[in-house]
Amino acid sequence: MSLNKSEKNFKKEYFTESRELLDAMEMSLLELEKDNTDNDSINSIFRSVHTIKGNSGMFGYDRIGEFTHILENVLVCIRSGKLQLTGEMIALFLECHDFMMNLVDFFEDDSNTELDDYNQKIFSGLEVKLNVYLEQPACEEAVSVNNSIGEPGSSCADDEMTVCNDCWHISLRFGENVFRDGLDPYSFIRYLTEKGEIQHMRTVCDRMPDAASMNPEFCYLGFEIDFRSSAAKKDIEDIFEFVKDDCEIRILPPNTGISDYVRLIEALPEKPMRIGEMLREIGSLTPAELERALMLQNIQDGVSLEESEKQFVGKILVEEKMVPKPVLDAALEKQQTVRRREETNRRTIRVEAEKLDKLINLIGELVITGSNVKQISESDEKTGLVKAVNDMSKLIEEIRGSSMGIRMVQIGETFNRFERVVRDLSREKGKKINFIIMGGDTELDKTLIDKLADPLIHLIRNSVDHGIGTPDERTRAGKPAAGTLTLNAFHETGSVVIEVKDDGQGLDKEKILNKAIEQGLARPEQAYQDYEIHQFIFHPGFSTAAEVTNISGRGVGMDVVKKNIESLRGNIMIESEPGEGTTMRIHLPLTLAIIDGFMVRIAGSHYVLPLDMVTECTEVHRDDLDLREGGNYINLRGDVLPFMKMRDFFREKGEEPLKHKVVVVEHARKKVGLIVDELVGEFQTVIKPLGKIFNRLQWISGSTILGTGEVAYILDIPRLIQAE
Amino acid sequence: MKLRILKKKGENNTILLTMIGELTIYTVSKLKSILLDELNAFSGVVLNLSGIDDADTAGFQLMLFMKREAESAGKPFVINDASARVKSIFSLYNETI
Repeated sequence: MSLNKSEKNFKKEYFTESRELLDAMEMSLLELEKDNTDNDSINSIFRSVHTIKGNSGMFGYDRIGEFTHILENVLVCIRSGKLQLTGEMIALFLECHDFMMNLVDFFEDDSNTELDDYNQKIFSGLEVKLNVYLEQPACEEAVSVNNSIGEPGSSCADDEMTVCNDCWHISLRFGENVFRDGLDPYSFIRYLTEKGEIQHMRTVCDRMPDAASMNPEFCYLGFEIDFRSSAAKKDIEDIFEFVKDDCEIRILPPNTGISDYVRLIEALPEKPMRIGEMLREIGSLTPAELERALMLQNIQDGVSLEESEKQFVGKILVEEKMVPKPVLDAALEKQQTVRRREETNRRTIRVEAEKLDKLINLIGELVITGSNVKQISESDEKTGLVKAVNDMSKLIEEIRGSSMGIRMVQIGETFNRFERVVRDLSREKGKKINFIIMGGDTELDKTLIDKLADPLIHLIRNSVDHGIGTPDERTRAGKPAAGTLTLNAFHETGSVVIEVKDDGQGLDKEKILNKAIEQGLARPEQAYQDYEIHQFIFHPGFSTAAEVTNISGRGVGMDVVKKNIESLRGNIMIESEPGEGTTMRIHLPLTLAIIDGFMVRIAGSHYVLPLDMVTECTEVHRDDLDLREGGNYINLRGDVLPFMKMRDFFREKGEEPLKHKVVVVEHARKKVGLIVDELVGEFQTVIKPLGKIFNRLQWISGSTILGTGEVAYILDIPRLIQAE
Repeated sequence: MKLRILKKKGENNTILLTMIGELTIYTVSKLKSILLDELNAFSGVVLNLSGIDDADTAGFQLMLFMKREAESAGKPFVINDASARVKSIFSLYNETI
């Protein structure tokens, strides 16, 4: 299949949108599972399915369309109350959801145009199951109604008194002096097109007098506009703010009552029939609606339609019937508008991640260059330059901040996906689990989130499989039968913390230790701290599970989890109380590329620490360090603070300064003092990864280039703290 | 006045008016009488507006007016060419002449 570029883009959008809709559908299904009378969820599912059906038709994915059509029919029955929604049905719908996801994946691969045997089998299987519901008599009836309407998802009520048009109607009559006041209606209407789309428009110049008395400098114009927009009424009014004294403006909202149109027809200076005809022509009213409006208006006036006018209405109707608009077209158009509206409602733009990465990279470079310029300017005598550079630096900082902000995504969406995982697993295992999500609005770099999904799923599976017991086991242990699994995200000292917490049986330390000894990881005679024992489960191939289930127990996993998280410059910790539960806590940096750094000097080299992790700086005399007995601890306002002499650590030789500076850094709730020679100051920096040769360098997470061309190393504080 | 009009007689007693300059509130008064005179004198008017570099709604209104007058006189009134500016106004207002 050869496609041109724009077609490809459209298809890409189709797939992206379908996935989004399916995600929404899944969420709603899970909602329904909790409360099967929730009409909002049913409607939302229906909308998703219906939109996918329409889109699939447009792009020629008939099999997806075919499948969604069957599903839609079942949903119609439920929506109309003909079928009672049961747990079984929800489970079936979830299956259908998964299958549709599969189909989307399947067809995204361009070479596939027909279903393969495997998918065809599932297709038929689900079709049979769905048809069972469709064959119930009550349902058949509802479906036939649905199919004959062709547009069941219409937001327009069947109410006789409502106009079925999702556009604004704007009626303008400009005053005579508009031109002479230097105002041009053109500019207002032009501006209108920026706020939405003018569907149809008619110029009204009935007021223009005969040739002798017509003054071309007077404005006699008016406009009837059918305007499609998601703007609020206020926004539309504001467009005409300047001209409001010189113009009669009437704005009718979409799908308003016919009586509003009646009032409009009456209020406008032209004859009702004339206005009516125009309203019909630009599509604001259908012929039937127009007839109703005119009838109403006449009833109100107490006169009946004149004979000629009656004929006219009749003619309009005949005309309209002679050219029946294809139902499909109408349906498609409606769908497009719904989608357009939804998209504007979200007020977001979809941007290719690649473009964003490029921008971030460039800004990274800009940050480096900016710091260079700043350093150079500080050694310059021109004071003006220093100020200008300072201002520029501030701007660069802001640009950096907001462009990093673009990448920030709320983690909630990813979290919500796990709800399904927990549901499926707990059913399979015969467990009852309340899944609680907290801090879903915590923002995190998109790249991080993407890479985090797999490790998190693994942790959640572990908790469900090993952590939380069956209802029986739990009741015996004196706990509520339903376990609780909490997913929590929050910010803490420059990092994001994500916790997976269960109230299960906790890690069995003895079992882990025995296993570790068995595998030669631990020595039997040595006494281990709790956290040291917990660390064993991160060893490759380590598993204590007696039986290997299809989810966990194969000993592959926790080591991968750890590796994944460490590759994101994060770390993972375990807290576990026997019988109380286990908490897996992941600490992650806020972002990957650029950090606010704090620069220090150790002997001849410069090092950068992530500023977020620096809690304070202080000073100690050399003697205080050297004369200390019993280990590397100093007294920080009464607290014991372990310290590391960075000179010794990097094996630097040479004369030490008399007074040492201590930088106190904190990570994962541990504090350490780093003894350095000199504090240089804050420094914004882009992390440049070190080359492959330096892969094994442990304490350094990257490098950056200083204004002098010198290289500064970025210290990997989490690692240092662990090492300590 | 920032408007020049070149006249040329066409077939069937029509007149071709090529206008260069502004079709705006500043020129419409003068233009109205000129166009009406031409419409009276000839049996049809053809306008070439490709040289109109500025136009506004007043100019647009005058064109609608002339169209109406010509129709009631049963004579053709045609614009055979127009500048981008004129076209953008007509297309926004969804009108053709």
